Amino acid sequence: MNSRAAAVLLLAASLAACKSEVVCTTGQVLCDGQCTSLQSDASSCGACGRSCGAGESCSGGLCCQGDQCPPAVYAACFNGNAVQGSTGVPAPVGAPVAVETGPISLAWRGSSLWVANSISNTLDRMSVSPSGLSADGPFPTVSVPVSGPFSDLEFLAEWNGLLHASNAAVGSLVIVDPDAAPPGIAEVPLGDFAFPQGMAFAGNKAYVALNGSGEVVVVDLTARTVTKRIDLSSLASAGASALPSRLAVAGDRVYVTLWNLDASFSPAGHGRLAVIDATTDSLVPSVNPVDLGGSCLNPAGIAVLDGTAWVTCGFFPYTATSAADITGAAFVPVDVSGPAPVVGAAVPVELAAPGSLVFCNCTGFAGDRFSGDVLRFDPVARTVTSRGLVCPPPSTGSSFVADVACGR
Amino acid sequence: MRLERARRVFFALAVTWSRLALGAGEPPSVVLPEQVIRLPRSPAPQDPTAAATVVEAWRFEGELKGVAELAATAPGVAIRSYGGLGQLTTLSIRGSNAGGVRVLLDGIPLDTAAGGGVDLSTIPLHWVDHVEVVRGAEGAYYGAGALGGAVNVVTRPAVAGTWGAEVTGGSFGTVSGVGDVAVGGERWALLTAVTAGSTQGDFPYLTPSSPSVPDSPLVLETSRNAAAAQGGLLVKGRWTPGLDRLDGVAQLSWGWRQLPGVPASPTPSDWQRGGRASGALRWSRLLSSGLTLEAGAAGRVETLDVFTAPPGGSGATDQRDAAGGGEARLTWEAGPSLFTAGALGSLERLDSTASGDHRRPTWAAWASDDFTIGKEAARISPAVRVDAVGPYSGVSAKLGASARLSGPWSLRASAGRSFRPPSFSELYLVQGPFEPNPDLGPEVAWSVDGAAVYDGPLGRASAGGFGALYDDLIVYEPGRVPGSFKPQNALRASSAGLELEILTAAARDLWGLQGQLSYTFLATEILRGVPGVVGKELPQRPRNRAYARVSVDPGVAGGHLEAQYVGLQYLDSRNIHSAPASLIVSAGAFARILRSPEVRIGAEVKTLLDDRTLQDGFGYPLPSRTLLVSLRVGSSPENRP
Repeated sequence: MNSRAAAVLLLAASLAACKSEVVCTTGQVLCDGQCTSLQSDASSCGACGRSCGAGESCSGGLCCQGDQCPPAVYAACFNGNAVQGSTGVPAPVGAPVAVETGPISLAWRGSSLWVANSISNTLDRMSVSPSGLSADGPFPTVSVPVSGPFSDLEFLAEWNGLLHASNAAVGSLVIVDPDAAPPGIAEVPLGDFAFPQGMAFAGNKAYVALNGSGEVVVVDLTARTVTKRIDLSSLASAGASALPSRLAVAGDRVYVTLWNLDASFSPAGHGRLAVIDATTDSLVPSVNPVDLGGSCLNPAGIAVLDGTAWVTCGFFPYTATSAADITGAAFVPVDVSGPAPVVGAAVPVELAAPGSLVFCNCTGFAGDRFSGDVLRFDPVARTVTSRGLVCPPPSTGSSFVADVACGR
Repeated sequence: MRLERARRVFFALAVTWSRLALGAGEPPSVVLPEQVIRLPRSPAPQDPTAAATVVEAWRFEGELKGVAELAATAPGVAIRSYGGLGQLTTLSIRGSNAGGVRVLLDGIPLDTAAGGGVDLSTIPLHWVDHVEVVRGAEGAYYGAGALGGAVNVVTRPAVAGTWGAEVTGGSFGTVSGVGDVAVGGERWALLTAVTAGSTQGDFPYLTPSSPSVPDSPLVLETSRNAAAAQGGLLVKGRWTPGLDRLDGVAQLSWGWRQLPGVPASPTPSDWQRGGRASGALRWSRLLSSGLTLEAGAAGRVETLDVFTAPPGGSGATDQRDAAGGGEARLTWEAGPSLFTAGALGSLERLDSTASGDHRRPTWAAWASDDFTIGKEAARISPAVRVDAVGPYSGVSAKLGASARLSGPWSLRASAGRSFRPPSFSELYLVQGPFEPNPDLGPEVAWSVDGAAVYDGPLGRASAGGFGALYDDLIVYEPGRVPGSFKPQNALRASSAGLELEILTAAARDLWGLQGQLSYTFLATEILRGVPGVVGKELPQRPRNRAYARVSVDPGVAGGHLEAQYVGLQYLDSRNIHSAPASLIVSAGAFARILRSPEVRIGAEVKTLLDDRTLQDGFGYPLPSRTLLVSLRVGSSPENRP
């Protein structure tokens, strides 16, 4: 059996046995009584007890060294205008792909990795080959017309073969068919001052967080119309704005992070979650809002793994000059397996403000909004196991890892 | 000979006064012929070898124009409007940022502290006698900040016995009324002018039904929340006892406007209001030794209150901007040399809810010479100025030369360097997504130009080329916080191009026919910036711009036809998005019912072709076909300045 076949089998095995009956979560197995990801654990790489050599890391169940490792995760480097692959360490691997201005959100569509560029109002397509990530044709792949002095794509997601981008400058959901020539673009207006951000899908519906109006809108993706507006403004602290940002679907519920900031864009209280019933498209009674606790300010990202919604938090003011200015930074687990969400003990984070979050083979990766680091997070051990600089800051001195996406 | 020397020095005095825009008020009659002899139609009295255009306001009397539109009839100048009809309007010269154009009102620098360019729509057109547009790095003559050039708006002179009143009304609820009267005697004159106007600004326009979808169908909309109102008072006077001369000017203006936003992101509750009070007092004396001494003080206070409604906006922002100071100047005429040296000190303060309360002093000293060779067959004009603006100091220099070739033909060339200190807003603004950057450095510009000039019986024409290098330009780049922006000295860019200018009255016997043409070819390139923008054109800088006008004025009636063409311009630094070229054709006519006193009725149609897709370089729709009717009663044209 060659190593590639072994890796495939191991991957299948790990997916099937992601959560043991004892404690392990999806993508992990028990090795000597410890939950372990055979895909990324250098001490049990591909099999329990199979240790990688010195300086090697484990990627996809295979030991590898430095540039030989396939990316475990990709990062959108907002300030550097690039998409950079990273090992699971995390550490940069391969050359960054220069994209256009302000890469802010990543989305896989088949074997292509797409990035939405916030400032240039474009979408760029990249492809993965044995030699690494590269531009798939000349950029921009898709140019979304601008209509004013500002442009601001905020989020990109794939659903049913189509790309869906939130266009904050216009207040619309932009739907792109990349297979059409030229790419077909449709638009669903979401209202004045909508400032759409994240989105999630359930059935043929898209749930879009409207940061400006404090709502989540439900978009019928067949009719391409807004069918429901769910007002979240009352879920903020008194006198504050809810500012819904990112969403995740678990079961028949949609979980929405709320920044909960005051008029000066400072935290008005603990970070909060809104919980929406996707069957009725209304707030779930008696559970809203979910208080994420005092360790969580300005919740930014959310991802669900095995019945737990992990929320990333962290706040720093516009005037912040160092990571020491960051407050309320944490990974917060919320058990969403029962009828009422249960907030667990937060995992504090030092000197970073984790934002976007993905789980790749049971390992969490979060982009730091401040330093350009990617944080590796173990959801079972509930600890940040390592961090590494993936998006080096340009001369301006700051670097925002706007999004992370699992390697393929 | 002594009389000749005295006249030359007096000419220098007049030039200086003109620079300060106070001497435009009827200089002593003995001086005027000297000006004509020494500077035949020289367009920029303060920098005689500069690439400059003087736009006389009377040529556009009764037309729907603002100060910026007058300036933009000159080559090299591009308007940056944000919707027209009383909305924010700034200028760019030779590809500079709006903040790189030094704007003066009667010699008083405007809005130096807040930055971002001076809003020319706040200057009532009725006040204006002429607009001096000087192109190139002009810091040596106009002070720190003149990277792309300078615009000196000179108000009407006080000419005793003149008076006038005018009312206008037209499309989209646009009305205005102005009046002026000047009194005086042999040694004094005093002008008082009042102006008031308003517009509803509710013009129709076509906009894409789905702004993010290419080529989506257009739908008809009406501009909302776009009203504006403005009023002003100008008092200007002079007193000339003996060899002394005292000039004073006081200006008071107030304005209010709604802020409509762009069609895809309207702002139905946003507005701003503001006012300006400014004044200057100048004294001068012609000394028997050939020296002229001048001294003066000037100051201004400006207020600006802006409300941008949450959640899209940041609420209320109040700003108070004040500056004041004094200067002294010595002019020495010795043989072929006309030497000037001076110094000034001033203090400016910006108190804003968005950027705090900051102040900084400015100290400057300068020297220039205008050296003529061989009965003025050639002239060389070197100038140098040192400015210290708060912690920022720098040297601006200029060297110009001109040579008469044959008859009306001459050549001129110049080279200059200027710098611009960061504005208080760039240093300290904390508002919404904008971060401050107190570590900014000054912007720097270098420029060269040259032109062949015809100045003769057929009129005036020039054709030339220019090049400029702008370094350490301050641009807002992504900041630390997602969606935030922070100013950085991150951009280096070049601009080069051609400027053509023709103004002729060669066929004036044919109903007083006059013709004007100006054309600008502007090629910009980003030389340093983030990857992906290097090698691209600067946004909002159309490559081609042209202005053409013909007018007739046989006496009892007249009219004009003009066209403004603005070529394609990019909207972003990567040159992905663009605004299409536009052509605006306007026409007007008037009739003089009486000549003395003059009673004149006029009408103008702007955007004659009723193009409802017009937009500026920032996506704001521009007014479609607009009709304006005016009635003027006043001094006969022969008596007016």
